[in-house]
Amino acid sequence: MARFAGGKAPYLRIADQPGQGTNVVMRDFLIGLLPVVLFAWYKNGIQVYLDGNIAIMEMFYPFVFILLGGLSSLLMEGLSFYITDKENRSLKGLMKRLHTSFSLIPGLILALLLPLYTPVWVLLFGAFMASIVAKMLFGGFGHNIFNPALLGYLAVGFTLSGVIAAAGGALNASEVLVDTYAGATPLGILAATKQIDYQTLVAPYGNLWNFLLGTIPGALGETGALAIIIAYIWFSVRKVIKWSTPLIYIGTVFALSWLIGIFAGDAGIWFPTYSILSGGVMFGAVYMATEPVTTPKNPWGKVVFALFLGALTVLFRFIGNFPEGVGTSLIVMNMFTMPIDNLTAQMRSAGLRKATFVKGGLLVVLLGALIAYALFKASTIYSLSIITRIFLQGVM
Amino acid sequence: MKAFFANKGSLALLIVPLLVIFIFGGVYSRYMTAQVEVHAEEERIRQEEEAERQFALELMTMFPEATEIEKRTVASVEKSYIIPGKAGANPEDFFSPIVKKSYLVSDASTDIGVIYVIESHGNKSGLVLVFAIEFATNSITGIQVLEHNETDTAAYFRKLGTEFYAQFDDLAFDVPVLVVDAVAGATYSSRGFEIATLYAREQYAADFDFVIPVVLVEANDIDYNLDPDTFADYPFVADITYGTEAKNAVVYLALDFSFAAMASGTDDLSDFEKLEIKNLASQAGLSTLSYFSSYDAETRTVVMQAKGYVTRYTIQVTFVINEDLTAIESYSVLSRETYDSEYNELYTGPGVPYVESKMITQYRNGESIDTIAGASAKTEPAILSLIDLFDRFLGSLGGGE
Amino acid sequence: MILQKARGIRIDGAKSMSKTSPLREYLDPKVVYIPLVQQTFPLKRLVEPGESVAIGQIVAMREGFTEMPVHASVSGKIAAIKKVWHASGRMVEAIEIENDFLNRYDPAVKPEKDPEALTPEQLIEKMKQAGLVGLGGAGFPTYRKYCTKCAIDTIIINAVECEPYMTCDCLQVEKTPEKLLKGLRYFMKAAGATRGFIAYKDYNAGIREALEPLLPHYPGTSLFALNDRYPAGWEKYIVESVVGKTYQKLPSEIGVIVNNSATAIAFADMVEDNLPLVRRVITITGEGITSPQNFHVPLGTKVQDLVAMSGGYKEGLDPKNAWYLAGGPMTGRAILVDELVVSDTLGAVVVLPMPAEKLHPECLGCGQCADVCPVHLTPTEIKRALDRKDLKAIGSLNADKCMACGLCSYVCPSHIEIADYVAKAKESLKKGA
Repeated sequence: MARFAGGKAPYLRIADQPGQGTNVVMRDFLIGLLPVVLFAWYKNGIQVYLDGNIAIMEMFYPFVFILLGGLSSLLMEGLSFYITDKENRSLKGLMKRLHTSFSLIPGLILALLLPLYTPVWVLLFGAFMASIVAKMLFGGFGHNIFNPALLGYLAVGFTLSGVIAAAGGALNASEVLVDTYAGATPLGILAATKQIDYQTLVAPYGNLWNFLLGTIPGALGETGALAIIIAYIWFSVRKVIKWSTPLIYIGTVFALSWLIGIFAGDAGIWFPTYSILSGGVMFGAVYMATEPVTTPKNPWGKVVFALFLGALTVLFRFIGNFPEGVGTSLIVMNMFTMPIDNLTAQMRSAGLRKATFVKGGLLVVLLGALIAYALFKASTIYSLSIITRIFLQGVM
Repeated sequence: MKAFFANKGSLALLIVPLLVIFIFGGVYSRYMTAQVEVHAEEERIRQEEEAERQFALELMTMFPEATEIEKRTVASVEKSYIIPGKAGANPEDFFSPIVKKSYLVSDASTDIGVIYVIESHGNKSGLVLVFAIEFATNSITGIQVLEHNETDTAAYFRKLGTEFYAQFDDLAFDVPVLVVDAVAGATYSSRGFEIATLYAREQYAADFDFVIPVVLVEANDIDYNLDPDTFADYPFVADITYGTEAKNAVVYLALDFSFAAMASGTDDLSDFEKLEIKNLASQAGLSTLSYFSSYDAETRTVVMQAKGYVTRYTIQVTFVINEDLTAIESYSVLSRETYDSEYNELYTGPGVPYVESKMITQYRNGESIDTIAGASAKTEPAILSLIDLFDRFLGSLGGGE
Repeated sequence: MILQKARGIRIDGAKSMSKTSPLREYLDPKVVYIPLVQQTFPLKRLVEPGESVAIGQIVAMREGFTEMPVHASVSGKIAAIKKVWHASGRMVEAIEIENDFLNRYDPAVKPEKDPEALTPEQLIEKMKQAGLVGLGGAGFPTYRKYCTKCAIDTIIINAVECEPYMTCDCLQVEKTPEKLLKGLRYFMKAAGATRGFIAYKDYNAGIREALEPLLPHYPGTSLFALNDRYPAGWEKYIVESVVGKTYQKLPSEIGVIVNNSATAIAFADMVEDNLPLVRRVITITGEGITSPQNFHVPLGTKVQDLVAMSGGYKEGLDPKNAWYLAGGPMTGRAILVDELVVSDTLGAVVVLPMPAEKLHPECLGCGQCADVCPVHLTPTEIKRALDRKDLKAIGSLNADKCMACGLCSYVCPSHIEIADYVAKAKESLKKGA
């Protein structure tokens, strides 16, 4: 019947127009990865080579490493298709399925999340966790609950971080020469010292411009804030991502970090700036908090998701002993994607009704409680002034 | 085969690249990790070189007008010295200083000097000194102590004060005998400096166009003076050839080998030559532990002294030789040795002069001279030396007939 | 903005194609087919083959709640009762009238002596007798809108024409602005309304230029420009934009009636000349047409004739492998043959080459469907609820609000028929409730 009618209304589709459609979205996404990939290559390969600290063979490694990540992800997904789908074992059939599965992306992003000196077998393990476990076992593209790359990253991080450290870790051949780096990323210092102090946190790495440019130690892709911002602009212009989500997320982290800074007695704008520029906040905001499959689909849901994500990131980052809060909070929020989507979809379609306000109120209370808890805990950790502590205790 | 590829072609196409990634990527990342070590090593070397450069630049300041310093390879001259404080009796008592580093220093136009870093031996080994030597004057312009293991207290090494170090300022190499005055209390350290200085000159002479002024003294024979007429005053006699004209002379030497008097020839020896004679004599292996006091030809009585343990009193032995002048007729010992003290109260035999008498008796009887249990430090060498000297004297008397 | 209500999106209207050619009269087709169906209601045939009919003569009756007559559009002889393709996408029975080219009019078709003297009741009766239906595409009998118990104070003429490719309304308004305003005045009178708005898209400067000088002669009327957005022509959207109020089911709840501009023009003819609904303007356009244009034609004209007059199909178009989109690409239907006849609801035929088979990747989750939805639905969630057959969830997601604008499918990068899923959900809700 459908064939008889020759399709369904509407007969105009954006996707049919040249320069539109899923493939174009994917192409745009890959282009958006380019600044970060190139920056990672520049920072960990080309610049180090120009400094004269590595041989030319080593210069290509960051780029090759990232490519291998994407490629292994692609091949693993192909294998998975080969095994599960007996009908389409021909090369053509596989290509077609891979074409619509965005199979390159988990491995590429995973590679960007890993430190430079990650052994390739660790990368392959991560790609397996990402592509096979986190994606294909959930039913393939569009059905996964968790961000595949992130799950792969966490799997590697929780089991093989020692291996990575033994193989050389995150510092490239130029960075190991800088005595002040002391083998730690900026967030590592915060987690270790629990001190909010410009001299401790920022000064060893120069100034905050370095944080923006990304010339600080860290995983391959996460440090280049400027490159990520360029990618963000590209994505927003090309409408690959919803432009507001990263802003809300980063804004939340910024505001809460500022509050924590104020509580700890340093109201300088440097601290929240440091907070959003270090670690994976930027990368997570642009590449992961906007990952369409595992985040809410409707606009309100995206806002709620970003707000909660920001609060959780701050909570995990400043309270836990792990330096990085972005990955964990993203995985946690991935689990809540469906409920959030459902709830906000109802609220949004119902319009300004009583039920909407009740549900909205519930969300606000939850978020408020989360933020209050985060601030309270942070205030007990980061030596806050007595008056604010009493005030907070009174409130709590 | 063809059928296999038709069926499994796509499978192979998936697995083979994965394997390639695994192997190629694995090798690549192993290479990267290995390179980490390599770079660390490179960096270590680089830092060492940098430190070296800084060190050299610092050394360069020893020449005020220097603008450039360049490391030069150097082959250490092989030369042994007696370790300060050692007698030089055993091979272990000697050491060879080495040149650890050397730099060529130049100003805008020419090379102006050389720097040697020399490891010498003071009270302990590892006394490393830096000598700056100027080409123009062939003299030391400065000295630095780089490292040492001396006893670094006010009582010892720190006694080497400004005055001591001032000796090295413009210390010319162009002299026949180079002397560094020792500082009391730090004699071994002083001697270490002296050896280093002498060695620096040897090295300098070997490396550059410099000849150490020498005292031309050749020892034809240096021996104990067995002539009863003079041997009480001059224990040693040396037959030497000296000077550029190769003059011959026989000289008498005092107990400390210093020049005492001319036996024949005219006394036109220079002080350096006399010092050289002393130097040669002290290396001739002659013992200073015993010497003659007098000889009476009538009674054939010879009186000898030996330096034993007690330094205040010598051991005096009086021999009466038989008429044939071939053997001891009788002897007497006058000794104030204190065996108990000498042998850390390990000596349990009879009292003084048991040891002396026993040894001399054994000698007289032609027996082999036994070592006295627990008594070989001072008394025994002294008596052995005395017996040896007496034996030579006896030989000379017999030979004279 | 994020929280601001979605206002639809801008769609490339592709209107310039047919807009540049003038409106052509083609009142004498050789043969016309009057379909014996309106909307989904079958009509009762009143004539037999062999009979002779005049223009405006009643040939069939619509029965029931929306009872009204249907008229012959040309004069001639009833040739046969045949099945023809209808705009609804089905083959329906139709009365074939062979044109005798005499242009005989039914005696009832004569100028009204004093149109201004007609009472509202008389005007509404005229609507009914003339068989006036909404010409915008819905085909709902106009008189029913006016038989409302609610007090009406505002009439809005919808000249927005937000459907891409379509230009028939715009051209007709530009050509006969006077008639439009007259029609509006009669509508206002029929409803007792004091205000009359003509809503149009702001870029249609031609409409403004044509209407603005005439407005002073028609008290109570004014123009209202809307942004170029799809679906700006949606009734609810227009009402909300013009009067600033929203309603639940019908605009009459808040005293508003919305009529299409073509309907108003037809009504002016009815009132002044007693000419029933026998003609309309249709856009023949699309990438498959050599020179797209608009035709003023009798109802029942064969589309094939119009295509031929438009220069035929473009070279390279395979007529067997093309879409004939009846009513426009967004809300219309795809007919696979061009043997279609012009009917009251057929405002345009868009001929497009059929696209090649599309890729259907999984839902990306981009959320663009939710972004563009004019009623703020989240289609992905509705689809999920539908997959679970969870009626309660569908209900709480307000799927019944869907107005089938098709934007969600339009924007979907993965070619998912998401609008169809929402329609199914809406249907299941109706069945379940």
